Parts: sequence; structure tokens; C-alpha cells
Amino acid sequence: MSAASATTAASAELATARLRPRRARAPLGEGRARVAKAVWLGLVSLYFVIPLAATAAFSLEGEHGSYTISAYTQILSSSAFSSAFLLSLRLAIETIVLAVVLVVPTAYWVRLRLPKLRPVMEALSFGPFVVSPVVLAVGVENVFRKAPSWFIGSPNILVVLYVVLSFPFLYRALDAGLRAIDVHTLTEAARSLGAGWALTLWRVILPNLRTAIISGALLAFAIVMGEFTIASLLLFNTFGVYIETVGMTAATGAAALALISFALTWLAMGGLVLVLGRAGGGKGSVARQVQIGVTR
Amino acid sequence: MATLALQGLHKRFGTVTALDGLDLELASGELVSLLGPSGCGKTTALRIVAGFEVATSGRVQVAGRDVTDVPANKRDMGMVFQAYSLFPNLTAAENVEFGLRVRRQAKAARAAKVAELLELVGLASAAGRYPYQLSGGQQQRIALARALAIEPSVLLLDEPLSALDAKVRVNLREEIRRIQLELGITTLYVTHDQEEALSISDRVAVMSQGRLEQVGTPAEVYRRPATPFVAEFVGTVNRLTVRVVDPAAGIVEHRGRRLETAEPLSLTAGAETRLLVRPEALVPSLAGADGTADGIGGRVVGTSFLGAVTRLWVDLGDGAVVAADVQSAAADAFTPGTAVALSIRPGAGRVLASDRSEADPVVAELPA
Ligand SMILES: Nc1ncnc2c1ncn2[C@@H]1O[C@H](COP(=O)(O)OP(=O)(O)O)[C@@H](O)[C@H]1O
Ligand SMILES: [Mg+2]
Repeated sequence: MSAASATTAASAELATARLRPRRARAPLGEGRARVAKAVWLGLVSLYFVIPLAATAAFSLEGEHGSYTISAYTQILSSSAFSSAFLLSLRLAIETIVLAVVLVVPTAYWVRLRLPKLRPVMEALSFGPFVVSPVVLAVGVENVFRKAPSWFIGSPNILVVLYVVLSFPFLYRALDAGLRAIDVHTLTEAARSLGAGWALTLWRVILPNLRTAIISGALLAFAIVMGEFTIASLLLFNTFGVYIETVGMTAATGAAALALISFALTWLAMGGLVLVLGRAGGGKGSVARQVQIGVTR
Repeated sequence: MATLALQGLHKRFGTVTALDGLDLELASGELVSLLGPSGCGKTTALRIVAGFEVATSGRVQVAGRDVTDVPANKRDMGMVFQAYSLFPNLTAAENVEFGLRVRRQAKAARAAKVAELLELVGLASAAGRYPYQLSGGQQQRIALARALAIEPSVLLLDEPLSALDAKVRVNLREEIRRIQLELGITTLYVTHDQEEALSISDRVAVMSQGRLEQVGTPAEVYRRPATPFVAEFVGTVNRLTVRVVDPAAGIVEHRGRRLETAEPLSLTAGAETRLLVRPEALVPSLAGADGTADGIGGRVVGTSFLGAVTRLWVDLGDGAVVAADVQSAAADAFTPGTAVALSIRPGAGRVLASDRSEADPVVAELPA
């Protein structure tokens, strides 16, 4: 045993000896690393930019090799487009609000008081991947058949389903966020200073989960804006359904729509980041939260 | 300020008994340390006082009022945690202000209090910094200021210095004591570091396995340990197997040599017992040329430099090794292999009335 440990010690020493000169040359290596990083970033952005550029080029094609923006004007002026987009936007916001209100306190409480339930939550969060949206839609329709018509007959029913669909993303983001802070100590510190549960959640836990909530909310947003299966089965004209319809009827229109929805979705996400970044009391900015996350 | 009383606290976690009947009373303005090895129940006791844990049985009283069933956020106790506990999204000043905002104090009053406390902990210049911009020691100072801002009836600290490095630790513990004396706040201080406990406390409560072993001033606990556990845990101690010669006069005998103990013994003449001797009470001298000298004979087997003193590890034959301190200036004469004679400072040896621990001869261990 002592022979073995002696060899390990010797090889460890060798390893450090080999490392030392390399560390001395670090500045050179750093420069090379920066170039490699730039090249890599360039390649990755090409992966995104080329399809977008190609789509843009196609969307501008007119008859006989001419160029026109008519595809864009048509879509932007159509009332079907704006009503579908606004409906999905509304559903996305309602979904995010409902999901955050339900999931944040739950994830917090599970972490704080019911650690034994964590595997159960994990398993539950796989649900939406296991159960296909078709099954979900049909099942929900059956369950809610006797529900009042303001619920079953209005897009509100979609919000419930979208909360289910986005639960895994939000829960996982929150769980990671909760793991990054010392939930127990922060909670006890707040309570010893006189804060009740609601105040502790609102003023201590929520602000420190902002980054996690934003990333979960963005995913939820993307899911709702693009969701097609359930909305189409339940016969609602959401943005996803509208895109699908246009895609089947107009070629350049579909390309233009893809770009428009891309731009709008990103704009909306930017707005979301701004709004959520300010919410939760306190003056903290998202940038600061990120910084805190990085320095930890 | 207020008195604090822990009465018959029991706490079980499943099959683990964390507290097994803890009784402790703190006078108003007193700083009492709960001292004991890791896992002995110190944190559990503190958390029960703070209201974060519910005792299986027993009561907690503050200023004579029973608070056992009062929720943590209504107890008005300041708490400083072992782990860094500042709210990461708030600045130092906002952290200190937190409890005042919860209490809906007026803005001007809050600002004045925050400034006063930052001043008190010597961090007025760090008001606008976020926790990640503060060192560990600074974070604990802010945590102390935050706990004190609400003017709590009792201050609770759970190993607040254990995450800090040695130098900061010593500075900050002096700071804590200075502030505690200045405010005259009743304080329960949990630590496993006996030096820390002895240096800042009015009284030390030594715990083992969920029970109190001894409560007393630092000097009492160090000089007159009530149990072998306390003797071993607080400071270093040598144990010598001795035979009682004259109980009334406190005379015992070690390998035929008569030794005087600190007080009369309740044992009968001829009984075998153990004598506890601190290293600083065991005085080594060089043995004569023939290897004999006036004292317990032995041979130096190792030395540890401790600063002002050097600790000698002396083998008494038969495998028993004891620790004896000499002034470092005089330590050069005692190299390993040197034959020495150990004498006990008169009256320094102590026989424990309730000697209930394991077999003899036991002595201080060699350093690892
Ligand atoms: N929440 C808990 N669940 C189960 N066992 C616990 C819990 N808290 C403490 N214990 C146990 O109680 C004993 C005392 O722990 P603690 O009070 O933390 O000791 P100390 O602070 O003195 O190190 C230990 O054996 C520990 O494992
Ligand atoms: Mg502890």
C-alpha cells in the first residue's frame, strides 16, 4: 500500500512539474484561445444566420426574378395575423403568471420542508414529455366536458394545458436556481428578522430566483407561441395554428411569416426580461443577478 | 435586556437523541458559550431557542416569559449563522435595514439605525456593497449588524467564525465581545473551539452528547473540570494512575512517589484513581548523570513548538506518554532522547470525584 501511494505521490509530483512551465507560457496560450473562441462563435452564428438569410431572400422573391415586400405587407395588414398573435401573446403571459404563481412556492416548499418529495417532482416534471400533446388534449377535453362553457369554450382551457406543458422547464430552472442559493439559511435569517412566510418568499427567495424564473418563463413563452397540436385539436386560432395555415397556402408568405414571428417573439422575450427583471421588489437588475451567479 | 432560560430541553430526530435534558440560565447581559464537539447538540439547542426547531419536550423563557410556542419571526431574537447568510440581492446597508423594514419603521429612523450599526461593526464604508463584494469576515460583521438592528432581546450566534481564517477569527471574536459588552445584550454563543469559548465568555457551558457536563467561568472550567470529558475537551490534560495515600490531606502516590493534589479526596486510602495534570503544571528538569532525579522519570520522545512555550512529549516507560510544557527559551536542552524528571506544581494535580471513563494509564496523545 505504501508503495502504491509512493507511486501516486511521485506521479502527482511529475504532473505538477509538467504543469509549471506550461503555466508560465499562459499569455501566449490565452491569445490562441481567444482566436479559437472567435472562430467557434463565428461558426455557430453561421448556423443560425444562413437559414435566416436564405428565408429572408426567399420571402422577398416576386414574380420573374423581381423583389417585393408584398408578402410582409399582406401578413402585417391581415386581421387573422394580429388576432392570432395577440391571442397567443395573451395565453403566453397568462401561462407564465399562473405557472410562476403555482410552481415557485411549490418548488421552494419542497426544497425547504419536503426534500423527500423531490424525486416525485422530478418524475412529475417528465410527464409532458411522456404523454403526447394529442393525448393530453383529448384527455382534458373529456375531463372538462362538464365544465362551464366560459372555461371549456374559451382559450382559457389552453392556459391550463400550457401550464402543464411548461411545468418541466420552469420547475427545472427553479430547482437549479434554488440549489444555487442557501435556501434554508436565507429563510431562517429572514424569519429571525421578523419576516413571515409570504414576506420571506416575496422579498428574499423570489429576488434571488429572478434569473431562474426568467429562463423558465422564456422557455414557457417559446412553447406557448409555437404550440400547434393542442390548439388545433381544440379548434383555437392561435399563432401556431395560423403559421401552419399560411404555410400550407402561401410559400413566400410562410417564409415572411417565419421571420416576422421570429422578430416578434424575440421582441416579446426582451420585454419579458425587462418586466420580470424589475418585478419582485428591490432595485436589482438582471445583469446584477447574473453577475452574482457568476461570482459564486 | 433580558434573561434567557432553557429548561429541560429534549430533542429527538428519529432514533437520534440530539438533546437529552438541557438546562441553562443566562443572566441579563451575560455571554454564555455552548462548547462541545461536533454533533453534541449545540446547534439544535440554539435552533430551539430561535424557534427554528421544536423541542420534543422542555421550555424556553425570555425575561420570564415562555416563548416555547412563539413562532421564530415573533421571537425578537437576533441570529448570526455559521454559513454566510446575507441576502445576496441586497447591499450591506439594505441587509441591515431588512428587519427594520419588516417592522415598518419610518425611513429616517431606519437610515439612522443602519448608519449607527455599520459604524458599530466598523463597516460604514461598505454600506453600498453587495455580499459578493465583501470578505467572509466582513459578511459576518454585516450579519451581526443585521441581527442587532432589530434590537433583539437575545443574541444567538452559531459558530459565526468557523468559516474564517485564523487571524480574522481572533480579531472578530474580540470585536463580537466588545460589541456585546457595549450593548449589554444577553448572548448565547455556540462554538466547538475551546480557546474561542474561554476567551470571550462570561461563562462556558460544556456539552457532550446532548447533555451539559459543566457550566462555569472560563477559569473554573479550565482549572476545575467537573468531569473527565471537560478535562479532556478544554485544554490538554495528562492522566496519571495514582494510589490514594492520605485522602484528608489530598496526598496520592505515583510509582512510590508522593504527590500533593488540589483538594481533599473522598476516596479511601489505598484506592487507585487518576490524577489529571495540565501540561503547564508538569515541570520537566534534566535527569542526573545516573539517570535518576527528583520526579517522575521519563524520556523525551518528541517536541512541538507552540510559540512562547514548547510542548515536550515524555515517555514514562510502559508506553505512557505525557505532555509537559517548558518555556521555549529553555527548550533547547530537551531534545528527543533526553532523560528528564517531571515534577508536579504543588496543588496543580486534580482527582475527579466522578471518574467514570476508560482504562489506565491514559495520557495526552502524541500529535498526529
Ligand atoms: N434535522 C436533523 N435531522 C436529523 N438529525 C439531526 C438533524 N439536526 C441535527 N441532527 C443530529 O443531531 C445531533 C446534534 O446535531 P447538532 O445540534 O447539529 O450538533 P452540533 O451543532 O453540536 O455539531 C447530531 O447527531 C445530528 O446528526
Ligand atoms: Mg453545529
